[in-house]
Amino acid sequence: MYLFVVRRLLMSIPTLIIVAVMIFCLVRALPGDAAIMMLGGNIDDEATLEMMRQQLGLDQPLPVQFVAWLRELFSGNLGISVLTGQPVGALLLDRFSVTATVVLLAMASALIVSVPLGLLAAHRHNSRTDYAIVVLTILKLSMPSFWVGLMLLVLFGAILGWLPTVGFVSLSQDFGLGVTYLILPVTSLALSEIAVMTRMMRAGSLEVMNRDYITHARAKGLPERQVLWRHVFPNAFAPTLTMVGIAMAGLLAGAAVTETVFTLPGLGKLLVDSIYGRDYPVLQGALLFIALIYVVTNLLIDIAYTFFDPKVRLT
Amino acid sequence: MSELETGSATDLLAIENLEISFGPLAVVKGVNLTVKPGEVLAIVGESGSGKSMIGRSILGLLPAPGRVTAGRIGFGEHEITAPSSPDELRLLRGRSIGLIFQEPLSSLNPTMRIGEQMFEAMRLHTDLSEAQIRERAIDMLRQVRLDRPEALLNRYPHEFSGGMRQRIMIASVMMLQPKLLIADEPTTALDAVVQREVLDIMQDVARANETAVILISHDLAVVARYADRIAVMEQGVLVESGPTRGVLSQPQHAYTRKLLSAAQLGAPSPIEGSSGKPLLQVENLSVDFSEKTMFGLFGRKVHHAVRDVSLKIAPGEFVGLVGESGSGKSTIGRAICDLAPMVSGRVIFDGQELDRLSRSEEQTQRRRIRVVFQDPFSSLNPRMRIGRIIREGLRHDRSATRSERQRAVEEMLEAVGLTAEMADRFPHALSGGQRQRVAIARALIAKPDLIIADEPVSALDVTVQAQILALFKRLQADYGFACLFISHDLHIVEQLCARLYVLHKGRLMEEAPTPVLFAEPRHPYTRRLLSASPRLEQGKDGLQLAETELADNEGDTVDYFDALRADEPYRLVETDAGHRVAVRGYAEIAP
Repeated sequence: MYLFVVRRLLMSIPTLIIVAVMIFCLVRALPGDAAIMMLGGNIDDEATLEMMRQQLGLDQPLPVQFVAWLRELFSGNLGISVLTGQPVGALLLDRFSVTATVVLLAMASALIVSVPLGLLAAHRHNSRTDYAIVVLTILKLSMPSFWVGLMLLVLFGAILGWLPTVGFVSLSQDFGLGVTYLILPVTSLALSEIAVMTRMMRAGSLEVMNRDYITHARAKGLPERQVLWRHVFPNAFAPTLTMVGIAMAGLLAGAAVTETVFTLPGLGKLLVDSIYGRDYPVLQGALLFIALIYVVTNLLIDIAYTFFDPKVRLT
Repeated sequence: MSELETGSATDLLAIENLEISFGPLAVVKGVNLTVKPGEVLAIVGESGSGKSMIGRSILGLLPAPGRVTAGRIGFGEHEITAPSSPDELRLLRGRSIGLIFQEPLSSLNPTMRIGEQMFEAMRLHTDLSEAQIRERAIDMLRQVRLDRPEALLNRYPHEFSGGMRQRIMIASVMMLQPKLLIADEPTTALDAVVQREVLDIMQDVARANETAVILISHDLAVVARYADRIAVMEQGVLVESGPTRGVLSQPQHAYTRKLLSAAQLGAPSPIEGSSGKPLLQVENLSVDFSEKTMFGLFGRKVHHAVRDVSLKIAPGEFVGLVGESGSGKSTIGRAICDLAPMVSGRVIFDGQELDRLSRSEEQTQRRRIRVVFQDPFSSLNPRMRIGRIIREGLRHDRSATRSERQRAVEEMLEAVGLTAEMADRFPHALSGGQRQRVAIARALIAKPDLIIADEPVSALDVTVQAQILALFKRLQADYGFACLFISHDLHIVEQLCARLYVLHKGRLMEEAPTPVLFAEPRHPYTRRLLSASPRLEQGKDGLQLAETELADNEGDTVDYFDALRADEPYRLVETDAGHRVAVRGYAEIAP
């Protein structure tokens, strides 16, 4: 297992280098000039502009720029934000911690709710409970998540006034206050995931429940609760887990819509801002970081898989 | 019904006037059955006869939406159809009534260790300590003749073969010492040698615990050996029941007689080919499957699926390839069609070595070979209509017009005993036997010279098996193709094949004309295969179970090759014309 992790991480290095090349090329292909943006837009003075370009290294040929960037990258230096002057590495970590808090909390609560709900729906297949669960999840799936977010804001923030509507306070700064800022974005994200995951879990469980080994478990005289949790759940959870992995990587890489709706200073918002601001160092760093998130999340999911499927060997 | 069964005080199980329905459809109608303590009752019938549903209803575990709509099931003091509390029934399960399924590959939970699966029911039903439970489990695994049971407990189901899983299953069910064991087609998925072994073990363990057994099966010949009484089901109705000997020798009901005659398969009628140049020659074929170990950096684990096999088929000849599962018989068939990678060897078809031909010539030759697979449920694309499935066999032929193809499809459908209207249906609307007819039509439409039939009747009911075999025979007379008939069942290949090859662990053990192989089998493995397949035979007082008890072979001191010791020197020697046997090293056989 240890060897497996090391090997997978080593294998991800070529992936990341290819991603780096693509990112670099794409970013340079963006229309607009970083130097102009730096100087505040309308600049006629060629000399100042030229000086700015020199300062940013933009006057060098592209391959030279790329090599310079890579060299800095390997020494752990992602550069300085053109817009704010902060080091990119620190900026990314700072923003990522916000996204990660929201996403991990949302995912955890979604799992806690949807796994039992999916099992219950399958257990009571074709009953009123099952129909209610199916209808509710479809209803939620057909609502855009930003709209649900906005409605939550309107109801709990504006009308009831129970929760703050704008901004973010870090948990380490003020835990109690921080939690109040987290509730709405976490709920909004979790609701979408619950809808998808409950349906996956229900479908997976229904399939497993037709298997002989479930009838065999019942024929042993096991109580239904034990049949569901010990026999149905581990077998039905694998497909849901795959989906959790994909969704998790996607969200960690920036839940841009949710972050915009709730004005959270997360990774997604940083990415969007850096695109508008032609903030090349931040944009490059953020994209590379996102690639890394995908690599790591997939690795974790593969490891988690072995707990649910003994046939999967990590080699 | 031959005799009216009435419940008595000594009955362990009493089923009275049982009716089971799925919605408006009754699948079991007015069935009466009793089982006495320690007795073995066989319920026999084709798929869809309702026999499995009776087994499930005794446990109160009918699949939804099935329900008992009339009648009663009494088990000892308990009313299964009207339990006093929901837990009454649940506590009977496992402890008093055990259940073993047909498919050992799917009846153990793949995500749970064997030990855990055995322990959990014990924890529920007994007050034994963990250590005692463990000891009982180990003892039980020993009783079903598994080696090193301590080590097995920590392993997962996928690490075992089908036969071993079924033994584990028996151990885990019998560990609770139930009074009644319901075995629903317990060995149908296993091949003859393993089937015999598993049933013997089940019988021994049941006898040791004085457990009554309900053995549900479609194969009369298999259950006849073990059952005290036989009950025959047809479309939900119990048509006949009585002591085994009586049912076999004096069947009362027409359906029983039909089942019995299907189980006998009739006299063999081998299909000889024409002499002269062979149609297919396989020379020294070997196929390896390799498994990467340790990231593929430190070599591979190689599994020799087929080793050094040579065989030939004459034009129009039916040749049988027999062996247990894992013997490599299907792999040979696949290698001939270029579906499995050959490591060495040559396939010569109609005088031409296929691998040496140019690509287009090779394709032309290969089109003359067609395949019929075992499982007609997965070999037909469920989203294609029957007509299109059969027409695909003609895809290579650009010259045929649309209407010509259509006519060919209709002709073919009629040739295999279906009707032309079926072309518009989808596979799911057909029965297993009908689907296999479609698969045969698809193979035959291009008028091939060779058909490779990979267990073409193993997935079918006994009565249907006989029909499909008869169909093969009739079609061969009409179209004149040769066939490599792959099967694990010696009695099936005996029906049609002129010559047989016996395969064990990838190597040929014996090759002989069919009558010779049955009359004078030489190799110990062939003898074991023969004695493991029971059949019914016409005796002096009606039908009886024919056990091919072979005469002791103690006089035979030949040093035969043992496939379990694979790396020893191996050689095939000819004893008679066309009869060759595998021996070790340079051992000789006096003709």
